[in-house]
Amino acid sequence: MIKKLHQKLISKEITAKELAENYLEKIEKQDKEIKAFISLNEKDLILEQARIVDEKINKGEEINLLEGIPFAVKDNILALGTRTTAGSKMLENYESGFEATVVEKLKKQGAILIGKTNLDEFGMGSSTENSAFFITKNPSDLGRVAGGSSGGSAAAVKSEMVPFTIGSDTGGSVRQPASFCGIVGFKPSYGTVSRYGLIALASSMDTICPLVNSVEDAEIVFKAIQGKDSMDATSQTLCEKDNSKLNIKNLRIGLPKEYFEKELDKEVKECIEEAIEKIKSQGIEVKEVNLPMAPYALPCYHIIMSAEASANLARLDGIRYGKDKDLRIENLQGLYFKNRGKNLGSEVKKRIIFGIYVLSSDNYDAYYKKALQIRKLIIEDFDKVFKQVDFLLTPTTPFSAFKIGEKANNSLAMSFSDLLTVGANLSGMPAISLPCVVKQNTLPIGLQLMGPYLSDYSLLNLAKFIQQIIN
Amino acid sequence: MDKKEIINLSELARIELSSQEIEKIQLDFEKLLEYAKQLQQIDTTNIESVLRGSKARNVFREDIVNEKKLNQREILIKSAFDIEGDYFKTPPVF
Repeated sequence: MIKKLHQKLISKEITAKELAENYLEKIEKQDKEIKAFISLNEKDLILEQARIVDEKINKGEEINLLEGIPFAVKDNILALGTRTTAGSKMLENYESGFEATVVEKLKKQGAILIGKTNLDEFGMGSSTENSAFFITKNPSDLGRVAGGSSGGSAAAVKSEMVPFTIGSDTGGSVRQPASFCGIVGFKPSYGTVSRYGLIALASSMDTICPLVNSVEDAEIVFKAIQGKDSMDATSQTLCEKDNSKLNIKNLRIGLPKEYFEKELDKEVKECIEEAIEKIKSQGIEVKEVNLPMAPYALPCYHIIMSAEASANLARLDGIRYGKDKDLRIENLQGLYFKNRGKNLGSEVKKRIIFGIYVLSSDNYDAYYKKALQIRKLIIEDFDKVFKQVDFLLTPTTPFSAFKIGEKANNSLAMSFSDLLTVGANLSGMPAISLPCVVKQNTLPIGLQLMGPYLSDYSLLNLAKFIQQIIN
Repeated sequence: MDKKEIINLSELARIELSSQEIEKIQLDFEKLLEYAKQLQQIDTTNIESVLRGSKARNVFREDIVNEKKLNQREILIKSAFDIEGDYFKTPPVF
């Protein structure tokens, strides 16, 4: 879609101004119902940026692929001139103090930021029902959730209110909503995209990702945002070359047996199996493999994520980002207690407290250290399996989008939607969710592909091929 | 886990909880701990702990002042609870 829009711009079929106006109109019409956006940039500012692009085109200057293309970012990513709420009352009025590297890179290439999208508070949730402001609805069925935590970003792309968005994925927060909404969500290898300017949830797993309409778009956006950044010590250069000559027919694809077991819904299973048959009919070798540690990935993730979150969210002390000046406070402790008590949501409180529990000296060995050791075993599991096959194929989620409210009171049950995605976050490897449309009038179902750490471009090439043959 | 322990943890977390919230967290904790118990089935003797999946190593860089970013102070203190001059102001410590 991005290439098509670019073509339209350079052939002067449409101006950048008209393009931006079209999207803003769509937002005005549709977002009252879908509620994907927390805030929008000022229209004049957006149109001024578009005017500069039009001027370049009119002068006959060459423009970048992303130049003049509108985009939105999840509201836990800082962008100068915007508020960044992280979906929390605590940061309701927080003005971004600096620009996230991803936003800086996209703006430098001429993409136009039009707004910030809704999310579960600090990324904690799988349905965007945990936003402190409102629930984002699934454009495919307004009675259902858009997924989460990047639900706003996914819904905005699906309903064509913006051509692409940026989200963050700590345990599946981009792939799961992409799957629920029927779009593409790509989680690159950990460290290939700078996290500078992302409000941290669990720093060892947080990954900034594109949410897009096609694998081609995922590649365009990934190329634009990846790269080592001196502001993020964990960022690194992706040495893999753009692998467009990958011989797909020689690849071996593994189906991890444990990912196709009991918790999978019948529709999901059938849909993925149909896709597998199509892939096999292309002469690609597909075989069953084992990941014996897979059932331990989600409990391991819960412990590590909560532990890291409890440390990361300690900065919300009510002093630098405080909101309530009228609380009756006697001393510093009171300020912490009252601000955090009043302005953090219940899921956030629970995870912070659970994190503190697993990190406390009495429980450290039994929970946190244990989880770090299991993480090692999970990574070894993947390393072993990638000696037998080149890529893995699984459903993205065990079930499709659920009804709003259906799992709201049972956060553990809700987290089962991350069952098949957390492995890639624990290990750092790249993973992508593609819409696996088989029947009409059914809810979207996602197909996930995972590859070895830093095999991002090969994975994208395989995904392009599979996208073609399953649709 | 009893209520007292949840209250103690919430104090360590510096989070004020209502009695309903304490009850809800107590209930959720039981489920979470039961779920996390699965990990005990795996023998991890002599298994290394890893902090992240990537094979990152520590690197250092020069501490260079970025002139462009010097004007951040104004924006940063805008969100503060209270300020005096260029300083964050807090209630008394005790």
